[in-house]
This record gives sequence, C-alpha cells and structure tokens, in this order.
Amino acid sequence: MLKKEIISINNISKEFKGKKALSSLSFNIQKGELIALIGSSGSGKTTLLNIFSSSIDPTQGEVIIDGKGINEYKSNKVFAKKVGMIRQQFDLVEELPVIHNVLAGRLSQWSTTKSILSLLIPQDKTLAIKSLKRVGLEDKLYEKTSNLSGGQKQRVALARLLVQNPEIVLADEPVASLDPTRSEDVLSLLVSLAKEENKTLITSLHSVKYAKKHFNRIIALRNGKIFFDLPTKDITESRLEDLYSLQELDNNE
Amino acid sequence: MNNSKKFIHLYSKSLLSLGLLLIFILSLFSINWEDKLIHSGGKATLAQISRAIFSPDFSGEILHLSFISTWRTLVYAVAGISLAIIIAFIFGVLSSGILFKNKTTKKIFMHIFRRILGFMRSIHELIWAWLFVAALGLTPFSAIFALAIPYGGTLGRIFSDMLKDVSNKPIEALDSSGASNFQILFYGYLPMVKLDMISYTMYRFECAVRSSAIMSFIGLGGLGYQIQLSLADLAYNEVWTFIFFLVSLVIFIDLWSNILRNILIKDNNKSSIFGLNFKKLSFLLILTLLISSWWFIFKIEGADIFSFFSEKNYYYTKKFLSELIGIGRDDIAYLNLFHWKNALVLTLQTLNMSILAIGFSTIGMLITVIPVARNISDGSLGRTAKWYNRILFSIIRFIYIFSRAVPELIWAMIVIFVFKPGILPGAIALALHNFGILGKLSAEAIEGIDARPIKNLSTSGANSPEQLFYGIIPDIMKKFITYIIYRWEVILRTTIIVGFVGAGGLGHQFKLSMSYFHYTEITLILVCYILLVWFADILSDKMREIIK
Repeated sequence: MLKKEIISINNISKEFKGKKALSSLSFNIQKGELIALIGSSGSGKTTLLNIFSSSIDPTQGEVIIDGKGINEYKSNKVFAKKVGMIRQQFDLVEELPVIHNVLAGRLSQWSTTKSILSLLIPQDKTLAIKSLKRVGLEDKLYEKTSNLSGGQKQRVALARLLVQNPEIVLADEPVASLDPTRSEDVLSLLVSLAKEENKTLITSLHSVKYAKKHFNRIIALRNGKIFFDLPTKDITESRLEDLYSLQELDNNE
Repeated sequence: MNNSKKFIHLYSKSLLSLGLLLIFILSLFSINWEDKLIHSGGKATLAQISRAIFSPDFSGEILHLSFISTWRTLVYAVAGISLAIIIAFIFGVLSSGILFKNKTTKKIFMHIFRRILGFMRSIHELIWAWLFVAALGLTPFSAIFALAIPYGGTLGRIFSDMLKDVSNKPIEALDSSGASNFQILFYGYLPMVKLDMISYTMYRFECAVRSSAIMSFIGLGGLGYQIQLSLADLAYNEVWTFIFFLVSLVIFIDLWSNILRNILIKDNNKSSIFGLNFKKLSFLLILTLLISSWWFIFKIEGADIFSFFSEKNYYYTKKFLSELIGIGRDDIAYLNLFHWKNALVLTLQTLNMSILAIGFSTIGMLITVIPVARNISDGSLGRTAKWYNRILFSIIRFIYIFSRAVPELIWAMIVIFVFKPGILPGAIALALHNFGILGKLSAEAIEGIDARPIKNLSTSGANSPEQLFYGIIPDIMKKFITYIIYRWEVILRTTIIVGFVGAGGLGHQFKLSMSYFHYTEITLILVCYILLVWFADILSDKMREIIK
C-alpha cells in the first residue's frame, strides 16, 4: 500500500500565558495509522489534539493536513470533511433527540435552510439509522439524549462521526469517564470503525493498557516534549516505568 | 409508545411554544385596534415625558424631598421585610415538616401551613393594604402588615422548600448522635441553607422597596407618593428625579447583595471596601437599618402596636368583615347571577391582559437578549466580538435594570397618560416592568450554556445559524419557557394592581367598588381573583410537567 503523509507537524510550540504547553514537536503521521497519545495530565496531549482540530493555533511552527497548511482551510465545512473530533461525553446537545445529534455530523454538507428544516423533518434519515445500527443504538433514534447513559452517549458521538465521515479522527480521552467494560466497548468500536474505512485515528489516553491493546503506534508526551514515539511492539515495561517514574521525580522537585 | 405520542413527547417544547404563541396572537384580537387607543394629546404627552428623562429636576428643593421620600420608602421596606422574615421563618419551618417525626402529624402540619402561606401570598400587598386601610384607617402598621403578610408567604414557601431539599446524610448523622429535632434544626438544617436564605431574602428586600414605594396608593408617603403628586401636576421633570432615586436605591441593593453573595459563597473573609471588612460592614449596615427604621416608625411616624391591636380595631375589623360578607344586606353581589356574569367578563379581561403583557415582554426580551449575554458579547460562544458589542451590552443591561426597578403601578400611572383606559395600557405597563426581569434571567440562562457541545458542532462543520438552532436554542428553550411561565404567574397576580389606575379588568372594578363602599362586590372580585391565581398555579404546573 502506498504510504501517504496525512498529518505532518514541524517544530510546533504552544504557550499559554508564558507557560510552555508544547515545545518544538515534529513528527509525521501516515494515512491509516492508529496512534495513541499517552502521558500524565498536563503533558500536552489535549493541546496537541486541539491544534490538530484547528481549535487553537500553535504559537510557532507549521501544521500540514493532507498537503495543505491548516490555516489554508478557510471554511470549517471543508475542514470538517478532513478532521473530526470526539471528546468526553460532553459533545452532544443533551436536549436534542439522538437523531439530530447524529445528523449534526451532516451539517458540513447541508445548507443552513436544510439544516433547520431537518430539525422538523429529519433529512438523510437512513444515514442516521445506518450509523446508529453500526454502534448498536438503532432503537434509541428518537430518545432524548440526556436520558442515555455515558457509554451510550459516547456511541452516539461515534455515530455522528460516522455521518460526518472525516479522513482523520481525533479522540480526546474518549473513555475517561466510563467504567472499564464500557471503556473497552467504546474503544474497540472506535478502532474497528477506523480500521474498516482506513481512517487515521489519534487518541489520547490515560491508560497504557488500552493504548498497547488497540493501537499500533504510541507517542508519549512529558512536559510538552516527546518522551518516546515507537511502534507498539517496541514498547518495553522499562520505557513505561521511565516515563512515569521520571514524572514522579519531577513532581518532587 | 405509539408514533403520535412519541412525536408529542419529542417536540413537547416546540409544540408548547407554538401553542403559547397562538394564545398570544388570539389575545391580540381582543383589542379593537380600529378604535383610538391613544389620547388625542397622547403623542405629544409621550414626547414631553420622554424629553423630561434627559432633564430631571435637580433643584435643591426637589433633591431634599427626594432624599426624605427615599428614606421613608426604605424604612417601610425594612420594617415590612423584617417582620416578613420572622413570619416566614416560623411558618416555613412548620410547613417544611422537619420538626416532626411522626408521619401523620408531619403531614397535617405541612398541609395546614402550606395552605396558610399560599393564602398569604396569593393576595397582592396592595390589596392587603387597601383592606387594612378600609378596615382600620391609615396607620404605619397597616402598611407594614400589608407588606409583611404576602412577603412572609413567599419567603416562607421558599424557606420551607430549601429546608426540605437539604441533603439527608448529615441530618441522619445528627439524628443518630441523639440530637433533638430543635438541635437538628440549628446545627444541621440552618447552617446548610443559610447562604440560599440570605441571598433570596436580599432579592425579596429589593422587591420590598418597590412595593413600599407603591404603598403611596393607600396614602403612604414616600417616592411613589411624590411621583403620583408630580404626575398630577404634569411636572414630568420631577417625576423622573424621583424615579431615578428609586432606581438608584434598587441598583444599590442589587449590587450590595451580589457582592455579599459572592463573598459568602467563596467564604472570603478578607474582602474589604474602604479598608473595612465587607461581611462586618454588611452586618453593621443591616443592624443600623433595622434599628433606625423601627425607631423612625415608632418615634417619628408615631406607630403604636398596642393601639393597632386594640379593642377598637377589633371592633372595626369585625364590622369590615361583616360588611364584606354582607350581613344584614339584601343586595349581596356574590349571590347575584348578574354580578357573577359581570365579574367573569372582567376576570377574562384580566387573564387577557396578563397574556398580552407576558407576550410583549417576551418579544422585547427575544429582541434584546442575544447581545447582553456575556459569553456572546465577548465572543467566547460562537460569534466574534465586535467593537460595538460592549456598548450594546451596557446600554441594554441598563435598560433592563431600569425597567425592572420601576414598579408596574408606576409604569401604569405614566402609560395611562398616553393610552386611553383599557387592558392595553395595563398590559404595556406590566410588560415594561417584566421585560427587564425576563431579559436578565434569560441572559443568565444563555451565560450558563455549556460551550463544549457548541464548540463540537463547530468542529462538525456547523456555521453560526446552525450552531444557534442545533446547540443554543435546544439548550435554553426549557429555561426560557420556565421563566416565561413563572413571570406570567407573577403578572397575573399583579394585573389587579395596574387596574387601579384605570387599566381595566378586575382591578379597575375593585377600585370603583371600594370608592362606592360596595363591599360585597369586593368579596366577589377577591373570589374571582383568587380563583384566577389558583387556576394559573395549576396550569403552570401542568406546563412545567410537559417540558420536563
């Protein structure tokens, strides 16, 4: 298969009020890679994902998404076809029924009039049903979203992502507030959907166990720098111990 | 669930809003728009009144009068609210049922005291005042009790709800440590609800200032009285001076309670103003206000609690009550079909006025609310911040606070100079007052929006209008409807008041019957009024259930 660089970052840094969140990161990501970002809180995982999703701009450096600088994407409608994001379960509009939350993934395609009409008469309904079936929630089509459990909400967010159908999927701690069974459930669903459609998946995770189980490349961040960037098979226990033990030393300073 | 039921359930909020809109449009038809609704000189008067805003009379004499009147309005508000707090505390504790362990006793007490509190607050303070004055004449205590009773009813209900909502765990712990019910009240319940109680009482104090001002209507001196006199003299410049004083007083209390609440929430003991500890300062200010207000009422106003509860007054009360019932009369209005028909027509008019009023204030709110939500104004939610946002924000916020600081009755007195008597000027006056409150509440609802789903919609490719329809509206609709229903209830209770100055409905008839001493008609009107308020309570409970 032809390798294609879908994301490349060159020497990016990000500062918040003089505090360095990321310093001089550079790496490339090939299309179809499944990447886990690990590292403790404050190591810069979320900042990095927010830069990829164009929510924030880096203080320095350049970000190339599919051959184009990230700031050359003028319309968020076009950008939404490239990059989609899933966060913790706060992505959804609680007061809307599930179907409209799923169809929100279609907003990048629809005109404003069609979007508003859809709130009355759902448009592209078959698409919504199809993607809800994929996540096993087709019976919740008209349920109010706030009535769903945390795991179900996360699967609805996945269904929205399926409808949006971006080439790159970013996931920021997608299982942070779920219990272990549901975490496993949501993660394996996320990974298998990405694999089936040859999507690039970048997920930040707290748990090293999940990272090793589901992903083929792991990037570890510490204090805004890359601590290691390795294929999963090359990760050794001692590496991981280094990552976390060093951290403790830092904290004791 | 079958399909149509599901549809109704799913779109309950949209359907309810649609229904409410239809009712509002229908109520517009009740006004004959062909008729001349404005006085022949109404437009010129409106222009004069509006111009006068910019040239209020700040001459020494008027300023002197303003300060004295402001003081008197404040004094009666303080006296009324302090008595209301005592009433509310006793009745609120009793109606919350927390003092009783036995289930049956608990139920009986809760039921009885809830009813009493409900009755106290279902009658507007001005009606209480009028009844007191009709029975006992104008004494300081007529005005104070007229304030204390309905305010005690409202505060008591809220206190009782707060006590009932207290988390169970600490209470059970105290209970198992062998504390008596009274000890649990002081060591468990009160510390937990203290903050909410203080902050709600401060809000009611602000309302009490407005109510105290309109006690002018039964002849009590103060800002309302001066406004009334100046209006009668067509001295609009003076009117605005007094209104500015009233607005300043309300704004001062509002600011003070906001600061105090923030300090209490953060439990911050160090906040200071001019080098003085704010908490201590507040406490001293409250104490000074209490002492000087009651001193003023007893010493200067010559209030006499013993003569108020004298045998003579007991006799007058009995006489007044028997006149209300119509003992020994053969023309009893509430037993007369013709009078009933008449009263029902007026009741419908009153209902109509309340719907128009809430409709107008909702329209006003919807037009203005977007630029005044802080998170939209500073661009943190969607739209980018423009240079004019800040200016728009300040202007509308000021209009909000101004419109709500002026009581409905005073708006009505002014509006009636422009419009001919009828339900339209009443509705406009009510709308002017409530628009500010509704606007403030709704702006706060928008400020409370969770930005994360909206940001995510933007990541999914939604533009601004799409974010509005998919994210913001679904989030705030429930709150907006809840506020609108709640304000409608309040408006309905107040319609009778604006009727006093010629704005139609039950209030207008109340005033006429009072001046003709047709006391059994008063009884009939009060019955209709209480029925209407009761009906509104049930209806709004139902509507709240629908959107739950």
